Amino acid sequence: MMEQKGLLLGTNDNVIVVIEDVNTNEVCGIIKKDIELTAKNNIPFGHKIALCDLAKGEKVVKYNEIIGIATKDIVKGEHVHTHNLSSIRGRGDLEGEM
Amino acid sequence: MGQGTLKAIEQGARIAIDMLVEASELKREKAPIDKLMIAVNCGASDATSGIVANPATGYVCDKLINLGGTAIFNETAEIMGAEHILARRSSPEVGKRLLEIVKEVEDYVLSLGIDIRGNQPKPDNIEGGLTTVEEKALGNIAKAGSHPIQAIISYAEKPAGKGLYHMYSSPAGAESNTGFFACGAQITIFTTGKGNPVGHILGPVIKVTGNHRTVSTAPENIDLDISAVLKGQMDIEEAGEDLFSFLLQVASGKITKSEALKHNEFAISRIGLTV
Repeated sequence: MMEQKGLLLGTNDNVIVVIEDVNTNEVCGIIKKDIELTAKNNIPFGHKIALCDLAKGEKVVKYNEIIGIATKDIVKGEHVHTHNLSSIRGRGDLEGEM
Repeated sequence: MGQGTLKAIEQGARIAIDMLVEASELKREKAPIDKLMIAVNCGASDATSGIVANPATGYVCDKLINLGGTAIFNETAEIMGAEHILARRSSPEVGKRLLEIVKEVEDYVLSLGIDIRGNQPKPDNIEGGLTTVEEKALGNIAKAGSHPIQAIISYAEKPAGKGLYHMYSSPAGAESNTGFFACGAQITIFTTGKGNPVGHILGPVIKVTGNHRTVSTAPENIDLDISAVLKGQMDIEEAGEDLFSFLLQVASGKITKSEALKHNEFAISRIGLTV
């Protein structure tokens, strides 16, 4: 029986949050949604999984709001965190580049 | 009076003796709920904070304000990325001022040529699943409920009326609490994800979490466990009602875990902004 460990917080979101640890290749269901996806990595409790493929530069949406941009191409089911998602605010280090 | 350490301590002790004697005659009296002024703050936030503890705290702010009370939130740097939502529901004048102060914080960061990611989100937030300052902010503002902001107040400034206020100040817990209690707030509701033991010398700090792991690893630091929300066994309204009841118990004299443990943290903001 597949466990529903995913939480979709906004209808426009392209990431979900997991409420338990999810292992690589585990099929993860989403609470109150008829959606399931296979985790590409180990996803720790509270972390995010891509709900669909995301191209580098694409906006990442959670709570129906933009939380940053993908810094790499991300595939559906992949862990979305600091290695592939970046803030677009308060980046003094990028002044002149953006 | 001299100006050295011992003279300063003596002068303070002389003032404190008189205050202590005067305070000994004070008796707890019934007060209407609209006299209640609370503050809300968070620390060691994780993904559960924005989903459970912050929305439940927002429910409490809304309920208290509907009953004529007052709530204060701060953490100006940590609403960066969600300020448009707060501005939209406030008056044009207050909304404009809110956008200005968040921009001031952001410009300050930019002027230093630093990457705010070095400091926001913090390492414990990142471990807890929060990736960006925007994501943290969106979870953070749930704590302030849904009322319009009446005014932006400065650090330790007393609100002029009732309702919701934003204190333009640092997000750091101990210095936030000093500013809250100094301006007249009686209680802070402090949400935590990964667990934070903070208390304060000036007043009670209620700690609430939606993370069941934190409840089991640091139960002595948590006053209220509402982690059942994450499992779908409780909704935000029920959790908010539990927190509201707990708030009234503390307002009526019940002590918090941080008081029992004598977590008497104290700090004040430095000159210049802490982001």
